Amino acid sequence: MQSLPQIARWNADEQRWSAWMRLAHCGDQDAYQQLLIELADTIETYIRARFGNIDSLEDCVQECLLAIHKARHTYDPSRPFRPWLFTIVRHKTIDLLRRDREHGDLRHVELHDAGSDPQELQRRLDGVKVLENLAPDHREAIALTQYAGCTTAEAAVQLGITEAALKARLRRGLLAIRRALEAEGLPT
Amino acid sequence: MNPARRQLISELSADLLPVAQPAGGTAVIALWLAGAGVFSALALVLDGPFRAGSLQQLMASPRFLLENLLGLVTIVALGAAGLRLAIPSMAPLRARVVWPLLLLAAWLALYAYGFHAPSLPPTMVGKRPHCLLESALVGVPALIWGLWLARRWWPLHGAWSGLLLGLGAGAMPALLMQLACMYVPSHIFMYHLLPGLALGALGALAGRWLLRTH
Repeated sequence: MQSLPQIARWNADEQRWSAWMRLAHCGDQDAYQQLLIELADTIETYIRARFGNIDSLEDCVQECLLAIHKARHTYDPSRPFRPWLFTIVRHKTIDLLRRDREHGDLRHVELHDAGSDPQELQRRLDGVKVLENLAPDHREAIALTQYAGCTTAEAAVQLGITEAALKARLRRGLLAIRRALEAEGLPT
Repeated sequence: MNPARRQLISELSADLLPVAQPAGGTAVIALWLAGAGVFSALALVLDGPFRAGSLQQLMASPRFLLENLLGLVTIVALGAAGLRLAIPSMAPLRARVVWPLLLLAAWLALYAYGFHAPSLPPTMVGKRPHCLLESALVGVPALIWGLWLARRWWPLHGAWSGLLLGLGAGAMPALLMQLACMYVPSHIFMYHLLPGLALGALGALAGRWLLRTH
């Protein structure tokens, strides 16, 4: 569950971003610059929480900023800003991850905290390979609940779906991982 | 902050132009519906007269009126959903497409029921010589216009947008043919509705190809 200060901060962000975007629609460059500076940090945090420390994080953030710039005319000031923003960011990031996968780039994985245990190291490497082959919806669900430490209810809110739908994605994702590991002859 | 990111933000801010009309959707959707409807009606009127007495039949047969009203609501729902899909929103895709498609299914089901019990006595009166061709072609400009409008926004589900716009554009001449052409359920299905559904498939293909975020 979100704490009250966190909700208050979210509301303040929402109002400020929406107001800046309204000014940007009128051509106010300063307001727009402020908006992009704040959004860049928010986008970075969002991508880290959902997709982990991907290699192309900076590219992702910049592509998202570019996408927001090109899509700014589709923001309706009478509607909330966050859903509009994160829909663009999510689609753009998934596009980039797909492109990376097509080009054979591997995602970066934090290995330093695996210590010297070779089995743990191997498990993490295999986990990354398997995650990469999941459908984006399943990968997001697993990344949020298994890596970012969210509860299923929190993850569902972040993805804008019901908790039941989140659990279904999680179940299918874990099943896909199990099948992939079985196919490779690894213990599940 | 990363210097490259700072540089990008400066460039984007310097590149900022005022937005004349933020994409609220409703006005553009209304414009598309009105424009496509007027074009379809004009094209059919210019190609041949409407069935004599068809407007009176609307008043005389409540089921015939219901068929046409449901068709109209379906077209509005398909067009609105197809265009609104081009505006980023967190609402799940399924929730955004299911109602227009259910309405379309209900509309088709009414016609299917007409095989068993037609809402009007089947008649050859008003038969148009090229109604298949008209049904297939009259919706194409509306589809192209709809795709062009959606492309100006930020389409995230190109194939779905194209499908809904194609079905909406194809349903317009099909609905008008209710008043313009002969009323026989099998003829309506084969010559008026199927071309409209085919336009949906064409729209999905065109949308997948044309409606991509850049």
